[in-house]
Amino acid sequence: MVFSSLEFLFLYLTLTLLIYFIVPLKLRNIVLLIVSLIFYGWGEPVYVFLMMFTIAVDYVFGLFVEKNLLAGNKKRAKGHMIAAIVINLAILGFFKYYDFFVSNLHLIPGLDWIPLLEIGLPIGISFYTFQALSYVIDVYRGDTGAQHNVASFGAYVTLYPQLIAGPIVRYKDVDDQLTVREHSVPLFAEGTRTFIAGMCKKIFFANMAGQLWEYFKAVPLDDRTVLGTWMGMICYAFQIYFDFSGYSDMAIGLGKMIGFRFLENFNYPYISKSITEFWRRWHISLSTWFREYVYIPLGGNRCSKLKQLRNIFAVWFLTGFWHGASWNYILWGLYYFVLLMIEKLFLLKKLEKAPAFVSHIYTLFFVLFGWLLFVFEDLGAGMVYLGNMFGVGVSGFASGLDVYNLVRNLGFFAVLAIASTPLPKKLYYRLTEKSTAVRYMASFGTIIALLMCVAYLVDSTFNPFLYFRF
Amino acid sequence: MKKYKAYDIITIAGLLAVMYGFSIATLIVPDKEFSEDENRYLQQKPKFSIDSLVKGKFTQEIGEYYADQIPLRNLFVGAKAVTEIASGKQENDDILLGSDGYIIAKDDYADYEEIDRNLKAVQRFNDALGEEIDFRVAIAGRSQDVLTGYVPALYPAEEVSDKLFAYVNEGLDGVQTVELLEPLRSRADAGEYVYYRTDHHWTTLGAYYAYVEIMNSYGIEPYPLEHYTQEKVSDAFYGTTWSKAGMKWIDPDDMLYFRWSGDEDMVTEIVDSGETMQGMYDRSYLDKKDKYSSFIGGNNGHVRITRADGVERETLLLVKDSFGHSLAPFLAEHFDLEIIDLRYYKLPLIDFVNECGASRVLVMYNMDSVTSSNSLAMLNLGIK
Repeated sequence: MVFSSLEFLFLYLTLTLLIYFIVPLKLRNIVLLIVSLIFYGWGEPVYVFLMMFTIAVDYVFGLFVEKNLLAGNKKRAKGHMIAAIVINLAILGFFKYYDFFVSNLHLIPGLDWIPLLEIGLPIGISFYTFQALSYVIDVYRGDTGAQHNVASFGAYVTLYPQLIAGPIVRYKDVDDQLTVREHSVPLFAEGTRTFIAGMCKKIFFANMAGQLWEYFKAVPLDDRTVLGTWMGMICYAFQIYFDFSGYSDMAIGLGKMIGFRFLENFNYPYISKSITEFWRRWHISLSTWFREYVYIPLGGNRCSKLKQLRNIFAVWFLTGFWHGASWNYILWGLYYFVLLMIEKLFLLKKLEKAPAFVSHIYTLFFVLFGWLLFVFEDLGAGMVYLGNMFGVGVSGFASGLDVYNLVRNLGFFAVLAIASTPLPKKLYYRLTEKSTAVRYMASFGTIIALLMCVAYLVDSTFNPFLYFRF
Repeated sequence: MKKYKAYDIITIAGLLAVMYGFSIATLIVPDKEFSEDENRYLQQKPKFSIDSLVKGKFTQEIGEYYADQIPLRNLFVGAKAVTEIASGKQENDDILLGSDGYIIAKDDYADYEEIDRNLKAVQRFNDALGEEIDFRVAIAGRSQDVLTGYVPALYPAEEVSDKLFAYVNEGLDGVQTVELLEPLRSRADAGEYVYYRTDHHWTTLGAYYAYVEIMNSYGIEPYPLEHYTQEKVSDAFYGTTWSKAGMKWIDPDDMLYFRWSGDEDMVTEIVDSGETMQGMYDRSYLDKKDKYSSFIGGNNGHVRITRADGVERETLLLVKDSFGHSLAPFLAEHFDLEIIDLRYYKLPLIDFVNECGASRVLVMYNMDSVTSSNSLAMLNLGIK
C-alpha cells in the first residue's frame, strides 16, 4: 500500500490509529507489528511470510550475538553476525539480483541454459534488509543490546511508516523508542503537519512533474527537441526529489503520530553547491548506512590512499547497485564516484572560491545528468535522449508544443523551484512565530490542503510508485 | 490536565474529521452503480476471496471502490479541475479549456506505427477490391483538428493536426479520398456550430457538411440545407469530453436532428441482434446521458438502412466509426446503406462487399480511429 492513496487514508490509517490508541501501552508494539504486516501484504500477500522469516532470523541471531558477547566469546559472536549478514544478503540477492546476474551470464556462450525466474521484487526489501542488518551489526558492536521482545523487534523491522521507502532507520536510533515513546498532542499535531506536507509534495509536485516527464519522454524520436528534452529531464529531477522526500516526510509524520522520531532523510539537496554537499543532503539515511556499515569497517579514510580509493569505490558501486538490478544504476553510482573523486582532489576548493551561482549551476547540471543515467535502464535510449538534449537528432530547438507547455507550466515550475529551497519553511516559521492568528490559519490551511490531496487522488490517473526497483 | 494549543487541536481534529468522516460516510452512503457524469459503471464493494486476495485484485478493487464511491466525488473532481485551470495550466486530464465554451480533447503526438498499420490495410483493401467498385476514404478531423480557432493561447493546434493529416494523406496515396478537414475547419472558424462543445463528435450540422463534401466527390448533387427541418431534440447534451474534463461549469450542447420528409419511412435493422426500428433514430437514448447513440441506434457491428416500402436503390457500404452515425441519415436519402463498424464486425469485410452487392464503399473514420485504434487494420481480414 502507498500513503498517497484513498484506501490508506480512509481505511488503513483510520482503523490502525483507532486500534493503536485504544489498546493498552504494552500491546501497542504487537498491534504495530500486525498492522505493519497487513500494510506490507496489501499488494503482495505472499511476501509477508518472507518478511516473517527475516524477522525470525535476525531476532534469533541478535540474541545469539548478544549471548556470546556477554560470555566473552567475541569470535563466536562475530560468526553469528556474519551468518545473519549472509542470510539477509542471500535473500536480497536472490529476490533482487538473481535475474540480473543470470541474464548477464547468458551473454557467455554455453551458459544460456540457466533459467530466469522473473519473480516479483518484494516491495521495500532493500530498505528493510538494510534495517535488519544494522540491527545485528549494532548488537555485535555493542552499540545496543539485543531486543528480547519479538513483537518489538518485529515492529522495528516492519514499522509501516518507513517500511517500503525509508528512511532507513538504524536500530540504535529507535531502540529506546521501541520500549518507551512519547504519545502527545503536540507531537501528533506536528506529525499531522509533516504527513500532509509530504502528501502535498507527492501529489501536487511529484505526480504532476512526473506526468510531464512521461509526456516529454514519450515524444516520438522524430519530434524531439532540445527544449522539450531539457524540460523533460528537469521535470524528472523534480519528480524524484518530491516523490522521495515527500514519501520520507509522510513516513516521518506518521512516525510522530505514533511516537517515533525518525531522522530527516532529505535536506534540500538541490540547493547544494557541490556534488559532495548534494550527497550530504540527499537520502541521508542511505549514505549514513553505507558510511557506518561499509566505508568505516573497510578502514574509511584512516588507511593508505589506495585503500581509501577502494573503499570509496565500493561505497559508490554498492550505492548504485542498491538502487536497482541493472547496469545503469551501477553506472550512476560510479558516475558519482568519479565526480566525488574529482571534487576531493581539487575541484571542491575551487568551487568554494567560485561565485555561488557557478557552483549551483555546476551541481544541478551534473545531478541532472546523473538522473538521466538513473532513469533510463536502457542505456541506448538514454544516450539518444542525451544527444537530443544537445541537439543531436532533434527536429529543432523548440516546437510550438514546447512553447505552449513551457508557458502554461511557468508558474508550476517556479513553485517547484521555490519548494526545493528552505524558503517556504523559513517563511512558515517566521510568520507563525510572530502571530498566533497565522498559526490558526495554517491549521485550517493544512486541512484544506489535505482535502485538495483527496480531490487529486479521486481524480488521479497518474500516481506512480517509484520504489519498486529499490 | 495539560493545556494544549488550540491550533494543534484544530489540526488534529481536522485530520480526524476528514479521515473518519469520509471513511464512515463512504461506508454508510448507499453505493452508486453508474456515474451519469462519467458514463461508466462504478466499482462496487469488492467481494473477498483468497484467490482475489493473492492476485492483488481484492486490494486493488478496494482502492477503486474508495475513488468511485467517496461522497462528494463530483465536487472533488470539479475542485481539481478548477485548481488546475486556476494555476494557469489551461487544461485538465488532457482536455483543453477552449474559448466560447468549447472543451477539446488533445493528443499531441500520434502513434505513427499504428497509423502505418491502419493505412497499409486500407491500401491492401483498395488493391483487393475490383475496378467496378467505387472506393473512397474520408478522414474527419477530431475536435482538436477542426476547432483550431478555439484552443487556448499558444496551443499549436494547426501545426499538430496539419502535420498529422499530411502524414496520413501521404499514406493514402493512390486511394481516392474525400477532404473533410478543411471544409469543416473553415466553417468552425466562421463561427458555425459544426462540432459539439462538450463531445468529440461533429454536430448534425457538421455531419451535413461532411455529407455535402462526400456527395460532391461522387458528383451527385447534395440537398441544400433548406431541404431539412431542424428538430431540436435536446438542449442538455453533456458529451464524452465533458465527462473526462471535470470542468463542471461548462454548458451542455444542443442536439438536433435534420429531418427530411420520408425519413420516418426508413427501416433501420440492427443485423447483429436482428432488431429493427422504424426511422433512423432511437429516441430512448435522449433520456440518457449518451444521447449521441440515438443516431441509428448507437454502436453496432452491422446496421442496414433501407426503405420500408421495399423499393431497392443503389447500395452504399459505409465502413465507419461513430462519426458515421449522424452522417448516415443524410446518405440514406440517396442510397440503401450497409453500415459496418470494424470495432465490432469481426468477419472478412472483403467477402461482405461482394455479398451485399454494394457498388460504392465509403470508409469514413475520424482521425482518432486512425491514430489510436486498430479498427482499420481489420480491413486486412481475409485478404490473401
